[in-house]
Order: sequence, then structure tokens, then C-alpha cells
Amino acid sequence: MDKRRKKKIYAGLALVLAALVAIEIFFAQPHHHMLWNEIPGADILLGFGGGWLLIFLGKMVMARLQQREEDYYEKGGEKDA
Amino acid sequence: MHDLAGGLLFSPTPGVALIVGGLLTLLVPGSGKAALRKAVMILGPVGALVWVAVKGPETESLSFMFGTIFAIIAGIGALYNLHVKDRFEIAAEMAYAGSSLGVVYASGWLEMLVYWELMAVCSWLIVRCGRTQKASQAGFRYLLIHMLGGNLLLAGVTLKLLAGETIITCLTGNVDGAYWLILAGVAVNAAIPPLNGWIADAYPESTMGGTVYMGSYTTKVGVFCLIRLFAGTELLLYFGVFMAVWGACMALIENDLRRLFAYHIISQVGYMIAALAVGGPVGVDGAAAHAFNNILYKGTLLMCAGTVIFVTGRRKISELGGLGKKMPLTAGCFLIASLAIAGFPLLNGFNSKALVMNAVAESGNHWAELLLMVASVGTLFSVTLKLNYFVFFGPCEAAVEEANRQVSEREVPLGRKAAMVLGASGCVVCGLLPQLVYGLTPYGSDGHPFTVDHVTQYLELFGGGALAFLMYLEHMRPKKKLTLDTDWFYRKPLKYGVLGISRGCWQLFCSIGEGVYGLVTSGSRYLHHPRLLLEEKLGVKPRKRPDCLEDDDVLQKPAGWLVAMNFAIFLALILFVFYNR
Repeated sequence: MDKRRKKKIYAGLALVLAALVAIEIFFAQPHHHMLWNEIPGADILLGFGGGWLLIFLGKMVMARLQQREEDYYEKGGEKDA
Repeated sequence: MHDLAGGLLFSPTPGVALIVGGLLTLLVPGSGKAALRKAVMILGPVGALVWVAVKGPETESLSFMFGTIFAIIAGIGALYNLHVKDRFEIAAEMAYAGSSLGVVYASGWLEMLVYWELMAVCSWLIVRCGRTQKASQAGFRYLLIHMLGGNLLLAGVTLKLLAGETIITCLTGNVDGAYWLILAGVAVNAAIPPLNGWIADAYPESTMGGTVYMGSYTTKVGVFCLIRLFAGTELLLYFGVFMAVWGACMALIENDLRRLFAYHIISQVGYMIAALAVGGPVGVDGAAAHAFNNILYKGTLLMCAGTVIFVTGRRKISELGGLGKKMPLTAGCFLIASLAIAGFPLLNGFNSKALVMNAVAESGNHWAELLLMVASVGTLFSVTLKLNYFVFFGPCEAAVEEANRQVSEREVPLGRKAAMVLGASGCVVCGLLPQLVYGLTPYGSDGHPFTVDHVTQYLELFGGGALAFLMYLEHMRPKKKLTLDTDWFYRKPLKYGVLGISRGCWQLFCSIGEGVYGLVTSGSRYLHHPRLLLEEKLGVKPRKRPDCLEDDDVLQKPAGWLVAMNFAIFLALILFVFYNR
């Protein structure tokens, strides 16, 4: 994706998220009372932080530990079970 | 039929309509009778749905709910497969759907067990219908692990029957040997780690339609049994949350389209297990509603993925791209279902997730609530954003673009298009009218999904997640790699042990005396090649086997003997139970 398009998407996302936070501040009445229910916009941080956590776990840890060549089970001419 | 205790041993269930339909399709001769076969394919699920509706008032609400969605998806699956000419595949799929309904409507342990084993055998046949050597091998491993699960269940049920308990009752809190054996047997079907390796191993090797059926039944029957037998078992909460997060991470790095969905099945089943683990009316309703909605959107996603593979002949995400313009209908249906699975407002996944999250939050397990929300971001990443971008709407490499020149949605059979549209419409209708699904739940809980705080919460969560995805977009394209799973243990280090056991069983049978051997070998021809029974007894014309299957007798023999052994053990158990009464 080219940088210009990416910038437009960032700007659009920022606008939408700002609008959502405003709506949350003025209209939302949380049913649960944990920190992330009370602070407006906390879910954005949760989504962003959680997203990076998953990227770290999936792409940087699990991919390195668990990924092999596509013919891994066929290697050596032996059939697997 | 009644057992000696007076409880029902077998009662007619809506699944019978599908099982009989499956058998009928076998009897309909091949070419020239396509209309008759198609009529049976449609009438079977319609009959099952009518049966479910008529039986409705006298059955448990949980059975009614699962029975309804099982019959509906059997109909949509039949529509998707309407052009398929392989009678064995159709028969196996219908019997598989019917036996799943049988488990849902079973009132006695033995009845449940019989349908459970029938499900395992039918689903094994569906995997084999992929008709490649890989499908044959994956089918063998699938059968092995499900026979293990079936035998664990068998042992647990035996203990129950010996204790004089013939009718199925909730086991929560009644921790004994039978409890653990039944839980382990059900855990295999629900793909609870580490018993999950079969799902990503076998599902992608089946046919396109076969995967739609398999994605809808085996794990959901597992969830149904967990709700019915183990609701409120807190231990399962840890497994559920782990499955939700781990499944999403695996899907994030997976390159094979159908393997990716196999991991998403695990992730979604994790939500259901977490909800039923916290128990209570909202937990039970959340798990049931999420299973109901999941069957709709996951079925649609699998149908769309099957259509992409059908049209392009490619199944790796790294070999796909830019299909949105070439396959607008498939892309549209996929987009709707992918938004539904992530839990976007106004689609069905949002409503059932509301119940699941309410149940977990009210139980006071806030760590679980947080992790399930993170897993929602994982679903957004790996299905909604990754697949829509890399398969349908994003730019693609020049080689992929060249390969796409021949691609056209026009060659997709009408039944497939109709099935995808029906599935996507179901996601929208159940999303806009949450009471449709809430009203079917056992306790009629209302998730109040359309409150401002709930809608903004999810939109903010997805917005934050989308930002992270966009920042890492250049590295999100999956690599051409194979991701190892727990099936690695029995495919590599324990490979010889597994083959040794299955071959040892075969050797043992063959060496039991000359006379017995003679009797056994006279029947073994049909055990090795069950199709011969149909070909010879019913006069069905033998077909030429694909070359790729010529040398797989090494797998057919153990697989045939596994089925035979299980059948023998099962018969011995019935005789034993009746003798001891």
C-alpha cells in the first residue's frame, strides 16, 4: 500500500476514533465498572496494545518456533503416520 | 427400542431423516438420475428441519436450538454441494449431519455413544473423499484420534451404565472416573488443546463441501455436550481463554486458507467454552448462542473459501490476491461473514459475543474478559483484515495477477452462489434481530447488544487494532511455510509407535488360529474396501481408482481394522452391560 493512501486511512481512523470517544463521553452508561469500562477511549488502547501483543506472539515467537518448510512432513521420502 | 431399565435406548430423532436420505443417495444410480439425487439431498435436511420443529415442544430447549441450526446448515450445505456427483461423499455428509443431530437428541448414554461413533466414521469418510494421498493419510490420523476419543467416551459411558445410570445427566460437580473419561472423550471433539491437532490436519484435505459440513458439526457437537454435561466447570475457563487467543495467533501466521479457518474454529470454540465454564443462565445461553451464530458465519466463510479454491485452484494465501473484482459475490459474502466473526455491530457475532462477554465479566474473571477482548482483535486481524486485504481487495503480485486472468465467478455453480448468499443473509438477519437467536437459548437471556457503551466499546477496540495492523501491514502477508501443531507428536516422534499399534492390531487379528483367520479373511475384503460391499451386493459399477490411491493399502488396512476393532469392542460392551443387569 502506498504511503499517501496509508496516511489517508490513518487520518480517517483518527477521526472515527475521536468521534467514538466523544460519543462515549456524552452518551455511554457503562454496565460494568472496571477501569477499561470507565475511562473513555480505553478500548482503543486495549485494541492497539492487544494487537501488538498478538503480532509479537504470532509473528515473532510462534512463527519462529513452529514454522517449517512446506514439505517438512514429506522430507526424506518417508511417509508420515 | 427400550433397555432393561426402561429408559429409552434408541428413539427416533430428526437425524434419521438425514441418515435415511444419505443411504438413499447411495441407492440412486449415477448419471441420468441427478434430479432424483438432488431431490433427496434437499428433502433430507428439509425433513430434518420439519421434524425438529414438530418435535420442538417436547424436547429440551438446548437440543431444539442446536437441532434447528444443524438442520439449517445441512440444508445450506446440500445446496452448496448440489452439483457434486460423488454419491459416497453426499451419503457420508448426510449421514454425518444426521448422526450429529442424533447426538443432540440422544436421551440415553448408549444412544449418544452410537451416534458419536457413527459421526466419527462418517467424518473420516468425508476426509477420504478428498481422494488424494494426503487426504487418505490425514483421514487415517483423523480416525485414529477420534477412535481414541470415542473409546474414552465408551469407557466413561460403560462406568455410567454399570452404575445403573442410563439417562444422560449433567456431570458438573460429580467428579469420578466416568467424569474424567467422558470429559476427555468430548474434549477430542471440541478440539481442546492438546487434543486439537486433527482439526488443522484433516479439514483442509477434505472436499470443499466436506469442509463446510465438518466445520459445522464435530466441534459444535463437542460444545453441545460440554454445555449439557459440564456447564459451570471452572477448569474449562482456562482452556477456553487459551484456545481463543492461541487459535487467533495461529490463524495470524497461517498461509493455507482452510487451515487458517481450522484455527479460527478453535479460537471461536474457545469463546463458547469460556462462557459455559463460568456457567449460570447467561454463560449457558452465551455458549449456545455463539455456537448457533458461529455455524452461520463460519459456514459462510468456509463456503466462500471453498469457492475461491474451486475457481482458482489455489489454496495458499501467498498465491492469491485481487479477487474482489473477479469474484464480487463471493467477496461480498466473505466480507459480511468476516465482519460477523470479528463481532461487528449489526451482525450476528456481535450479539452472541455480548452474551459471552457479559457472562465472563459477571463471573468476576476480569483477566479472562481482557484476554477474550484481545482475542477479538486477533480475529479482526487474521480474518477480517488479513484475508479481505490479501485475497480480495488488496494489491497482488504480477504473477498472481497473471494467474487471475482466467478466473471468473461465472463458472461457480448456482447452488454454491445461493448457499453463500443464504449464509451471509443469515448473519445479517440474526444480527439485526438478536431476539431470533436469544429467543432460542435455554434461559432466554438478553445481551442488550445495541447499547451505546457496548457498540462504542467494540468499534474502539477494532479501531485500535486496525491501527496496529496498518502499522505492521508490510509484514502481515503470510510466508510460504507449514505451521507445526500438536499432530507433530504422532506424525514425527511417535510415528512408528502409532503405525506399530495399528499394524500390531492387524497382525494380532490375523494370527488368531486357522479357523478364525479363515472367517475373518472372508470378511476382510469388505473391511479393507467397504465400497466393495456396495459394488458387489448392490451391483454398483466399480470405478477406476485414482492413481494416487494405488499404493495406500498400507493405510487402508489399519484404518479398516480400527473401525472393525471399535465395532467389536462396542458389541462386547453391549453384551457385557446386558449380561450384568
